[in-house]
Amino acid sequence: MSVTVRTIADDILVSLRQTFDDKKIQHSQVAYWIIVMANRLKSQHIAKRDSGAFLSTFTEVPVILPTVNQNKNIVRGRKHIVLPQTIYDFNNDRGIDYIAYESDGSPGCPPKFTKITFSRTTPKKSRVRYMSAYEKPSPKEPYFYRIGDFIYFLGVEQVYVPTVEIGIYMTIDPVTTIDIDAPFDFPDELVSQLKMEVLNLGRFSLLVPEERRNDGASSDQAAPTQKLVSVNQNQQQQPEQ
Amino acid sequence: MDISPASFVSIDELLNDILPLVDDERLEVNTKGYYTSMIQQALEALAFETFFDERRETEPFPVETLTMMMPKGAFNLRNVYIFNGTECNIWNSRKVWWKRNYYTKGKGYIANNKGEQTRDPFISGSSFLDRYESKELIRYRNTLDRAYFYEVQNGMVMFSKQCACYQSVMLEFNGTGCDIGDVPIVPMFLRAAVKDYVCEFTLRIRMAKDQTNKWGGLWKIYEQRLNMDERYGIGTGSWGKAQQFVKNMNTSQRAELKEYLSKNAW
Repeated sequence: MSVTVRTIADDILVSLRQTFDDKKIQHSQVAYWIIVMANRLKSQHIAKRDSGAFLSTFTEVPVILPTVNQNKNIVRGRKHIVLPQTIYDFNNDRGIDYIAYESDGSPGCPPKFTKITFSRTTPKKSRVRYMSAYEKPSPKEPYFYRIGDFIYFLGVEQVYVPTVEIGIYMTIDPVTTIDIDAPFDFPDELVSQLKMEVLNLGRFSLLVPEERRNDGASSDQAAPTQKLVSVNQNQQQQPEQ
Repeated sequence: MDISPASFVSIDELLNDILPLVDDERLEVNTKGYYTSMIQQALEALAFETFFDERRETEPFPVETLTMMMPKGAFNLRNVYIFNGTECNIWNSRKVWWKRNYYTKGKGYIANNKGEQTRDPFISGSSFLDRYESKELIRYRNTLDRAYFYEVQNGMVMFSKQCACYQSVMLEFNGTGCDIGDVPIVPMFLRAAVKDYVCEFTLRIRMAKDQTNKWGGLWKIYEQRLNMDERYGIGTGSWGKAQQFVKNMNTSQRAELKEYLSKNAW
């Protein structure tokens, strides 16, 4: 992954012949298109392949225990973490590969050296989990569910869990924060596909006629001065003008 | 057939085999708790069908109530004994016999036949019973100091008053393999049946969740592996094989039984 966003953007601007001073497509515009299309291609790539190439691990993510309710999504007394980065919204929350915590060895917990992985559930489905002796949330069998950017936990209410480790599939940083000279976190084999997709976007943009653009000038068309009435409305019911 | 207590398979060992078979190595479709529950249910079903799980449990004799509850996970009472001493030093034991229709809650009892002289026109044979020694085991009045009997009703074991002369009661029974909520350990000879049972059940869940029914073919394979006996005879499916293994006698038992029978000494 030695390619950078700048390399791709420069290449595309050359292909679109947008290298002169008064060019219609700016460098930042192309960078934005690259990120939009790269996110799409990368998500498809991850969904298709069982690979750890784009898995990112965050350790010691702090577990928060709110003391007050706060709309929206923060509920008092419910342990949760905030997702460290934006992730792909795959089916069954597959954007989260795993969440694990290190047991402190307290009652009901395995020894401290073991790591326990959280299973996924949803707020609605979690009710069913409590119906089985084996599936009931517990320190040994903990669950997580996602609400927006918050990941809530079930089963670790009574044990001390200061931090968790999480493995996620992150989206590409937005154009406002990305370092375009840093190695681009994108599969090399899809760069050609990415270039083609961005070129298509750029070509479409160049094809849009000039008069379709809002240049701020006033239009010749006069604004209507009379109230518009439907042809289906009964004439007798029409209010007086 | 007997097996060493060291020859058991752990849950993790089984899951290592089962999860790839149902394509759930990430434990996304079902949780580990679910699979543990399924393994427990497989053991339970095998226990009911094969009686492979034989247990004994000792309790202090219920002197006041003459009744005690069957232990958790127990079914099919095999033998009841009463004894004095401890489990490690039994010095005076008696077998307790089953008596039909016996009922007590501590004082007095009800039974169809109490062994009394009676004018009941339907059971008039108490004098007939007196002539046979073996019958006195379930009677009360005539053999006051020797009648040790019990009956089970709705899981409550009820003892005759004479049993209270002993300190402890030992129940020998069949267990359900593993109580609900406990971590099951699977005897090695049941491993194949348990795996097929869990796979078959899990693939049904996958079929229910997946509208394309792409799991149907795989489910069919496990259904056949499990229940092949119904089509091709006993011992062809993994379930039948497990049943057969449990019911087989040890080689020594078979050889020695032949010896006994041949010498008319059994």
